[in-house]
Amino acid sequence: MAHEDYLGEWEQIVLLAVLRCGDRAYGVPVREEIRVCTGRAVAPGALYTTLDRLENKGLLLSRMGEPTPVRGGRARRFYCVTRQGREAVARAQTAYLQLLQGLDLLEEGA
Amino acid sequence: MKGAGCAEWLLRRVTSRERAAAQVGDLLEEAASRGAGWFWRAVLGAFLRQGWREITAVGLAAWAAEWLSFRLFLLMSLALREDAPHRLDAPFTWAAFAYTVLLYSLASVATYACVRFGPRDPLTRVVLCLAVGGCLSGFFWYQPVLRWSLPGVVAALLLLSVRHPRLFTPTRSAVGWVLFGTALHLGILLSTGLAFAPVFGVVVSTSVSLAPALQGMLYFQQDGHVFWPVIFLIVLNSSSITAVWLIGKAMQRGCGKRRLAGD
Repeated sequence: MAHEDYLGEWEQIVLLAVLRCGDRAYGVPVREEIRVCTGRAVAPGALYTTLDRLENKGLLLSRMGEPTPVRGGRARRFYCVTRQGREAVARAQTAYLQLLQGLDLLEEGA
Repeated sequence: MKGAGCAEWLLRRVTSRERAAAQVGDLLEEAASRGAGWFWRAVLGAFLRQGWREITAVGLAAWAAEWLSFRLFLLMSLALREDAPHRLDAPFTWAAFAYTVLLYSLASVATYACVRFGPRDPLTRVVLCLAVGGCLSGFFWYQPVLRWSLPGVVAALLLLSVRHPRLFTPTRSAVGWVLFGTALHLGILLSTGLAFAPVFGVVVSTSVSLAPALQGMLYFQQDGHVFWPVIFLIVLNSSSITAVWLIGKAMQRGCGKRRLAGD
């Protein structure tokens, strides 16, 4: 695997959270999904930096939604994972699973 | 929420207009339950996280360019001044001058690229290789081979800048900074006379860097000038800060355009 294709743990978490949010994947629900699933309270700035980076890498795509009054007339920016992003997450998770094979860590942790 | 427009303006300094609006919208949505204190902490955090690389890179590149242009000034000053204690044995030539400007610009761009894109970035590595190669070739200045390597280095830098838009602006800015500093120093050198020039040259550099400030102290002690350097320090400090701000704004605009094009 080329070094540029390698996904860090945080990038995997963000990509998976975006996938889990589906059609409503913008900043607020993505942060909430990460908090619920991992227990991490993520700073908004950290999330936006990562979303930008993943988009620049071509792993995410974004589109603007409609402006809403609750946001002071500002539109939401919705994200979706590209095919390249899905493949990158799948590769990273497969590597983790291969490393876990033969170890009883998951049973011990359960 | 009061001040949401200010928050958006602040975030526009470090990201595109659409992204800044979307981020402030997200924060406003959450601030309804968390309060104004949380909102402003989050805005400040988002600003620093997204902008620290750009701000540091532009500041360091400007610092490097200014500091290096001062070194160039010293080189010229020592070469031209008849009474200089460490007068260079080598004669001053325009080819050497052009080569030094190029080399210093390259060093400034390398500084920018290291901070902005990181040393792992392939483009940063190429620029670093060029800078190191250029510095090494400086040791062999009087060897004929350099006459052939100099156009190669120039062509490589130009080609890189044209092919990679993200490097074009810092390259142009760095060359501009070095030329600006050099022109300023040269102007002072010619208008004030050779004996008085170093004081002003030092003041230009002390306005944006610490290392030449130490050198400046030595010059002040030698020449005994205090009043004019202080005035120039204030004027040049403000102009340096304005110039850095303008460069950052131009870079941000270029960055935003590229992102929109990517959309």
